[in-house]
Amino acid sequence: MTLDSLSFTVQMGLLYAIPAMAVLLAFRVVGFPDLTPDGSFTLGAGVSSILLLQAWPELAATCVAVGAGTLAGIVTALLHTRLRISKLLSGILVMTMLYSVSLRAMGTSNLSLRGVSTLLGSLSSRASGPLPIATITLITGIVFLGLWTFLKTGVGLRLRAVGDSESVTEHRGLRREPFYILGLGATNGLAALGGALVAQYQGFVDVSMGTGLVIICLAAVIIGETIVRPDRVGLLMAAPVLGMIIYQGVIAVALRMNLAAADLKVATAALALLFVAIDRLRVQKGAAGRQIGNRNI
Amino acid sequence: MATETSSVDKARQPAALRLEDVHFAYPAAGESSHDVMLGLDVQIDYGKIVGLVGRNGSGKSTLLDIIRGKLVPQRGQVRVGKTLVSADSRLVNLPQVGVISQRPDAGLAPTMTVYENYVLATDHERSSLRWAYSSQRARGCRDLLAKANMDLEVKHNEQVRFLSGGQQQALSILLALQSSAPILLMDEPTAALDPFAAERVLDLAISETDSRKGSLLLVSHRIRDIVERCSRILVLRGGKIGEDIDTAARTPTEQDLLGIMANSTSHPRTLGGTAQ
Repeated sequence: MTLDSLSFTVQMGLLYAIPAMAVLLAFRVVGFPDLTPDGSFTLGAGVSSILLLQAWPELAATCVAVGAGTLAGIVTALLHTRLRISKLLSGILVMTMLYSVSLRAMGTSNLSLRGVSTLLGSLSSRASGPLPIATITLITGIVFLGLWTFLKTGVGLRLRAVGDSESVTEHRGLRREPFYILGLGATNGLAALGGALVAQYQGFVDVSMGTGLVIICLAAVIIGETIVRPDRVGLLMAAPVLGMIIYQGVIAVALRMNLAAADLKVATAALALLFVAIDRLRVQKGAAGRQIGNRNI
Repeated sequence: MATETSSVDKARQPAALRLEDVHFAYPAAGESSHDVMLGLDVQIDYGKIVGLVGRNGSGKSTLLDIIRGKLVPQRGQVRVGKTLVSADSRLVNLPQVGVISQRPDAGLAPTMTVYENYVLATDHERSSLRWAYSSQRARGCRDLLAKANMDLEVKHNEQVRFLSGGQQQALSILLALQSSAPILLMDEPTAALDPFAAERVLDLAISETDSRKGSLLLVSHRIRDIVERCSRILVLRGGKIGEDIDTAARTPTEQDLLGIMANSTSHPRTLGGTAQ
């Protein structure tokens, strides 16, 4: 691998680490297997791109995208708590609707951002020279620190408790709904942020760019967890970041070794399966994990 | 009952638990329904340790669920402290009730640490975005854990699921006792414990109840525990409080109580009963 492609891999890894942390938040912390991020990732990319094309300020466009994603997450949470639709189906319904919403908003199935000033671009140029990796590291680092800090506050502890066991919420008199709204709002807001940044980084939006995102992120979470065995919140949050960088590296190598792009999804699933198998075999050998997080999902 | 509470206190403070004319039936197939409560009346004052006994199917679990607001009676009123829980087949408010059950990890978050569980139970600022870890809190946590006398205090940074069953049970009880709930329900709290751990866990619950103002309702089939530790014993029978025994007036023996539970009507009313 050349230095260039290595740097590209790390950049993609750090960018996709944002939705990966979001997926970890839903699946492992809140205990809600949310599939909405497939849709909210694209929504974030689409919304921010349309606004950038209309010459909105970069930061404002990105913030509106995050807000749109957050709303989508709240809808998923409410479908589950108010209409008692299962968690999985609530996410699938919203994800499916978001595909049309994104397509309608964009007016076309793909948009180019060539020549448009973007958040990544403007931050990078200000940092003297083309250094997107520094900018990306900074943004991902802020998200990481923000989540880590939040999960150690009073509300953060309660959010973790809601995902951990039914019994604790019942005994402590916690209503689940506000925490699902909070958790899924944050998850999908972050997924939308990831989508907006990826679109700005690659210079275009495609309406199907979010398809399969949750699976990729889960693969990254599993890879990361197999390696770091998180028994603390800090390590738990680090798992998807590390996992995503490794995932992007493996995929880059596979493509270089003439893996057809059509086979990419099989490769992703196989990679996730491989790490699950490693994890399970290790557990059988008696080195049972002291991992935290909702392992039911 | 409640002879040591002055009448002034009684007027100012509502009872910890008050059920009035509670009727409850489980819906059943067809016309019939399965009646469990037939006009049950009971009042428990603050600071009391009360035992509840009854044979299988007498409605003990149903009664606990009614108190917690999980089941709503078809008729009658349920109050926990100042909170009206249900009235005339309508759920009004979910009450603040501490619950200790036979599941040792009741109310505990298994993959969170002992300390984090302590914070969940003691931090009453619901929407606090403040950092949850402080040395002052950690000290409070260790002091509380030391009360169990089960080596819990050295495990305050350990995930709860790695504690033994007895340690989890003790932690569950200690944390339940931190709540300011007017009443604490203990449903077969020692079923899963060895006799030594069971003793210790019950002693702990009783001594903690003495130092807080709420009361304790203990449900157990271990009649000896009830007879030895409760100041008042309620026998649930025929959908009502069939017998209300003040153990201060006369402590029944295990045999007495078993007799009362088994018997339906023909026992002498010599145990200070104020039934119905």
